[in-house]
Order: sequence, then C-alpha cells, then structure tokens
Amino acid sequence: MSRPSNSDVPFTVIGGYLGAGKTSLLNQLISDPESPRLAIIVNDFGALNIDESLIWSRDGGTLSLTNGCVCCSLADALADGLHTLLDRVPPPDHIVLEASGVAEPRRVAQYGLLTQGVRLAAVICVADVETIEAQAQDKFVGPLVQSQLKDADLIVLSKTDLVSADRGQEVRRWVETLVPAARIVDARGKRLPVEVLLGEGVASSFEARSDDPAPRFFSFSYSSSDLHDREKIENTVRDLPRPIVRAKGFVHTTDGPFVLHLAGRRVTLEVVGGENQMARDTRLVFISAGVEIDEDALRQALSMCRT
Amino acid sequence: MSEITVFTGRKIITMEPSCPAATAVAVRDGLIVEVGTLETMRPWLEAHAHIIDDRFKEQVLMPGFIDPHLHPTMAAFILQMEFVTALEWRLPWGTVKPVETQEAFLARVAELDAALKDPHAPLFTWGYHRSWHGNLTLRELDEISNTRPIILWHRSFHEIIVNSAALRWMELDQAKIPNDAQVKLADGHFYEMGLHLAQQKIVPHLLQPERYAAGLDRLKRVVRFGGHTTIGDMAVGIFGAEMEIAAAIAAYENDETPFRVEMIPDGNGLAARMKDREKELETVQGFASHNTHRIRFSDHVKLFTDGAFFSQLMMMQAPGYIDGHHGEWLMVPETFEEAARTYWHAGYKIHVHCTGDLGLELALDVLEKLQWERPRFDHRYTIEHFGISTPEQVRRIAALGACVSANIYYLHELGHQYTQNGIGYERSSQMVRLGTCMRHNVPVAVHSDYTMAPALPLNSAWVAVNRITANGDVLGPEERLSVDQALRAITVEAAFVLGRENEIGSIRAGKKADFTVLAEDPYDVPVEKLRDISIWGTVFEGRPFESER
Repeated sequence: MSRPSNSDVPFTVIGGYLGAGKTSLLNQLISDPESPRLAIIVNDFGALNIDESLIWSRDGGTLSLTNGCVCCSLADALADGLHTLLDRVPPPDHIVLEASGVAEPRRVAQYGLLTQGVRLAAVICVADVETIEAQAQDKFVGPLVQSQLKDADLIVLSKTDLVSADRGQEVRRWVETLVPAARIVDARGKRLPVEVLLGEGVASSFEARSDDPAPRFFSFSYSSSDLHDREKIENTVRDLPRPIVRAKGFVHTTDGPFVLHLAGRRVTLEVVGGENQMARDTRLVFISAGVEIDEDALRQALSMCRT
Repeated sequence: MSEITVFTGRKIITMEPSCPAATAVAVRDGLIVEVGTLETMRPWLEAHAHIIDDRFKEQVLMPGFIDPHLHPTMAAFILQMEFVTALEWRLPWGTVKPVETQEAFLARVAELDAALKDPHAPLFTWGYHRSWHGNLTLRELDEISNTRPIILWHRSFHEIIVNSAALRWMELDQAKIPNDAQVKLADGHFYEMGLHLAQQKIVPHLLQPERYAAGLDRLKRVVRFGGHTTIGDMAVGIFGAEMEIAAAIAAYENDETPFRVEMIPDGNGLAARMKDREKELETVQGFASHNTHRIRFSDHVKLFTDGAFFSQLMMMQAPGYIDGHHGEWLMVPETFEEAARTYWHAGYKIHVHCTGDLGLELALDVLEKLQWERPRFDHRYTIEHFGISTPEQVRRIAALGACVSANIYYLHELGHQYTQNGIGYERSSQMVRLGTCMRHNVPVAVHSDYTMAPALPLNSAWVAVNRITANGDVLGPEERLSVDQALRAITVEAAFVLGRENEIGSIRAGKKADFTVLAEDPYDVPVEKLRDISIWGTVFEGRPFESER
C-alpha cells in the first residue's frame, strides 16, 4: 500500500454549500501572483448523471456507473481530470478541487485518492456567515451542511465583511460549538494568503506582506539543529492552540528528515525524497489566524520534542 | 381500409367501468372499432368485411399491460450476466430458482463456471446478497477457478466480489491502490467508490456492441414475456440520448416488436451536460423529431430527489435510520427546484424519482411552490418509486394533484429486511402505502424499474394485493390494494401516468388494439394466485404474438 511521498502532487479540496464563496476563493487563488502553478478542477454536483441506483453513463470516452453513492460521474470525471493533469509536463505544483455544494468534501477527497501520484493536502470548507446557520438547520440540506463543517480540516468564514463584528463572532462561536475541534480562518472580505489556503510557500514572503494595520495573520519561525522525536512533534503540532492554522517546514528526526504540514487540524509528515538532503536542520514556520502567537510557549513546546 | 378482425374470448376485461366485461372485440388497422358481443356489434359487421378470430375463445383478454418505468439500457447490461439470486426470477429463457445459502450460491457459480467452454472468458453473476449468501471473498471464488475471471455483482449493484483471475484481468497495480480507497483487495471486494477502479476494465467489456445488442434483445424478450404492450423508458440519456435513441429504433422499430416505448428524457443528466436550462429545454423538445411508430417522446421529463432504495440511500425525515446513517441527494435541492420550474412553466409532465419521505417532502414542497407561481390542472406531476412516505404526504399528493407510480416490489424483497436493518417495523411495514393513496383518490400505477423488480406486471399486482414479503409475512395489510385497483395500476392508470390514456390502457372503441391474453380471469383466481396466471402472449395493434414459455 502506498504512503504519501514528497514527489506526490498535493491536492486541496474546497467544499461548502452552494453560494458559500468557493468560486471567489478559487478566483483569488488563480489571480494571486504568489500562487504556485495550480491546476483547478471545478466539480458541479448538479452535473452528475445519476439514476435511482444503477445508471451507467458515457461522457466523451468515459464510462461511469452512476447510482447514487457507489460510483458517479463525479468520481470518473475527477479521476480522469487528475490523470490528465498529472500527465502534463511539467506537472502542476498543487491541484485544487472544487467540490460541489452538495458533496461531502471528505468523500470527494477519497475519490481523488483513487488516483496515484497525489496526496491530500487539506479539506477546506467555506462557510458564508450570513447563511451558514440557517443552512445547517434546513430541512433538506441541514445534515449535509453540518457534515461539511465537521469533516473539514480548515473552515474559511466568508463574507464576514458583510455582517457586524459581533455577528461574525456569534457565528464563529456557533461553529465552534458544532465542531469543537474546528480550525477557523476569517476571510474578512479580503484575499486570503496562498500560504493559509494551500500551505504553499509558507516563508519569509508571508511576513513581508503582513503590513496590515490590523493583521489577520501572524507567523513564527522555529529552527533547531537538534534531533526531534517524530511522534512527539507530530502530536505537539496537532495539539497547538486553535488559531494556529498552518505550519510547514522540515523536521529532522531520529527516523530521518521529514516535511511537516499542518493544515487546520490535519498533520502530515512526508519522507523527504532521496536527493533532497537539505533538511539537516529543523525549520518550521507557523501561521496563526487573528491571534498573535505566544512565541515563548510555542518554542518551549517544540523544544520538548527534542530527543 | 382493411377488413375487420373480431377477436372473441371467454371474457374480455375492458378496465372500463362503463362496460367492464365483453366477449368480442372488433379491430381494424390496429384500432378497436367496437367492444361488446357478436350480437351488439352486428351493425359494424354488416357494414364491413370481417373475419372472426376465435383462437382466444377459451382465454381471457385484458388491455395490454403497461410498465411505465423501466430502464432498457441498464437492463441490457445486467441481462448479460447470469442471475444467481436469493429470490426466484422468472425469465423467458428459464426460471432462476432461489439460491438462499452460501453453499448453494457457490455450487451454482461452480456449475456456471463448468458450463463455460473458454477457460478465460469472464463469468459475471448478478444477485449476490449477504443476507442470504453470507460473506464471500476472493478466496472462495479462487477455489472455483484460478483461470477464469469471476465477478459477482451485488443485488444492489453497488459492490462486486471478484477472484484472483479477475484481478489479473483488470490489470490493477495492487501496490498503488491507496489505503482509504473503498477496496479490500485481499478479499477481492470493491464497493461504493472503489467500484470505480474495477469498472474501468469491466464496463467497456460489457458495452462491446455485440454484447450490448444481445442484452437489448434479451430485454425485448423480457418485455414480451411479462405481457407488456407499452413500456416507459424512464430516463433516456443515461449513456447519451442520441446513441440510445438510435439503439432503441434499431432494436424495436420493426414488425417483430410487439410493444411501443414512451421515451422520457433524463432531465438531470441533460442539465449536467448542458449547463443552460434554455438550451436543455430546446434539446428535450427536439427529441420528438426522432419519433417513429413505436418510439415516442412527448411532453415528459424525469428528475430526481434522493438516493437508491436498495442501498438505503433514501433521504429520511426524523427519526431516520436505525444505524444513524444518512441518505443522499441525487440532485441538489435547489437544482432540482430550478429544473422542475423550467419544465413546469414549459408545460411538461414531470416524473420525480423519490424514495424516502424527505425526498418526497422536497418533491412536494417544490410542487406546492410551482402551483403557487403558476397553477396547473391535470399536470401529471408523478412521484416515481414512492418508497417511504407519511400519510400526511399522501394527502398532500392528492391536494396538489400529483400521481404515484410505485415500485411495490420493494415491499416484497426488502420489507422484512428493512424492519430489521434499516428503519424498523412501523415505517418498513408501511412502505409503498398504496392503500392510503386509494383512500385519497390518488392515481396509482405500479412499475418494475427493471431490474429493480421483475418486469412481470401480474407479479407487481400480486405484491400490491397481498403485501407478502420474501419470507412469507404479510406487511401492512391496511395498505393492500383490491384486485381491481391493482389491475388498474398495470393498465389504465399506467397509461394515465404516461399521458397516453386516450390511446391505450383499456379496451374501448378508438383505442389501440393492444391485449394481454391470459389463461384465467384475474378476478376469479384466489388473490394469492394472481401472479401464477399463465400468459399466452399479447396482441399488439391487432396482431397476435405468442410468448415464449
């Protein structure tokens, strides 16, 4: 069985109910000069061919069994799309899948994982502060909307600039009650940094751009030449305070060098590819959303992971 | 003008309350000119050349049976497989005996394997179900054959079990299958999304033109065998509308096909491909240009709310499922509403696939909005399948003027199972509550959704009348239909649901001369024997066609 390796292309699934702001987020990513070379797949669940339980479909050269849950054109199109993208020379740096508004993004991620050569970076759920509460209680789609929130590694609150700060806080608290482990980012009506959305390019460039008088994001760099315990650091990063929504960098451990990613509440450690032996040191960058990082506490927590 | 042919019968059941029974029916150029007795129709016979055809004098004639909802394209697929099923399936080429245990299942597969000459030709079976056949894996199948790919397709169609030879045939690189794909390679088990991996090899194999054509030919035999003279293809466009229409015309538009097909476009699939409702509507309206004598598009369209009944993917209102899982929407509720609005305003008859009571609730909420926006009478908005509903919803169906086309076979095959593993006794025993529909004067047709149920109208009527489950219990006796109501559901009411009630569905002057010829009078046999009535064959537009038996 496979395990993610550093050469696999990361993919991020962006989900959320209809009208949540997924497309705006994609547009931001496309136009952001800081973006890596992206490949974007837009999936519209309304575009699905389904019949009561056993319908097959042929779309171009692709055949699909489309029977409700088993195997739908979403999966087929997705797998085909991913293959086509991966075959490109050079391959993209990051693939972004827009899940349909009615899909469970975690399941879309599973479809994606049927393709070789990709690794899941994160499942992001976009939630419109103006409508999310009502949608979560809707008689037809409430349970679906709730599971979209519960399954996400990272939740992006959109359109917060359209409501009062108090209302924004209220919705945020409501989300935190529904999903106690939620990691939330508030877009505040502005472009979100690529580093936050995709975990790409978490680096000094991020700090250089943080000149907002009321900064939405804070970063902190940690470096050490000591060896760290792999399991300890993985657990420590997973249990960081909730505002810390992203982390990335190299960790040099007793088991060898790894690339570490934190995406909301998802932590992954990838083996560093054979040629890439630059990770002799541990160098990590953390991003916190909305709240300043307690640097001493974080540094101390990480130091405790040294062997 | 041709001469008149008078068919006489022991009894002619007209399904016309104004003249329920007759002994002679006069036919000219495919149409009925008069129904009654040789005596009452004498003025016609004196005025025109005629012959008396008394070949049915010992038999009973009914209006040709109508199944308003089946899927010829899907059936052409499945009918290529060997049926190994827990329940009996009567097929034209033989009755599939129930295979109720794992031992019997494996023995049957071994028998099928031995019967195939080419040791490498894949063997497909359909009908495997754990409730009866236990947990089967690659290991048990490997004992049957190491050379022949064996593929067991689950009854629900949502999973397969294969042997090692099949894994090799599918050319899957086992090392590259991710951990969280829904595949258990060691067991040869592909399910839900994992099925996608397996089908990359399997589907093109089954879609090879000669295989597909053979499948369609088998479907044609099935339709005749059931005594049908009209069927509804309730989702044209599964593979691609143009291809399906061409295939349908090639397969059915000939003198040897004793039935017609009402073609209902799959509005959801089209929406997916076209992305533009106006263009979609134009396309749907354009399909009628392909109409031939037997193949007809009119003003119907198919839409969907919730998921498959056999897979427990119906969307349920509280309290939901015993195990707490959720169903699925097949169309986004907003998308469904938007599509329904487009077709409603264009005057279409909308058929909505609904399986659970929440799916039905959506269909009714949308209908209520549309009625508010633009009231329509006689709109034939039809609830298709009608798995789980509440009594209040039936009242609402009546109030909003909708119809029901039900898969009553759910009750027979799944009724008992769903009392245990599903939604519990109360709601399960009331599934497909047709008695309530009758109490509210809702028009009710029954269908097979073939192969979700056998395409045997008398069998569907038998389930509706008796509500006997696969294990012999009677479930929800208050929801039973009378024999007359059930027979209407496979004739006049089915014609009504297809919008063809002026042409077919009963035996009266002016309608098509379509008859189903029975050995016995269904009003006379004990109700539990309704499905056992032997069918001689049919008369399609005046021409007798004897069935295979």
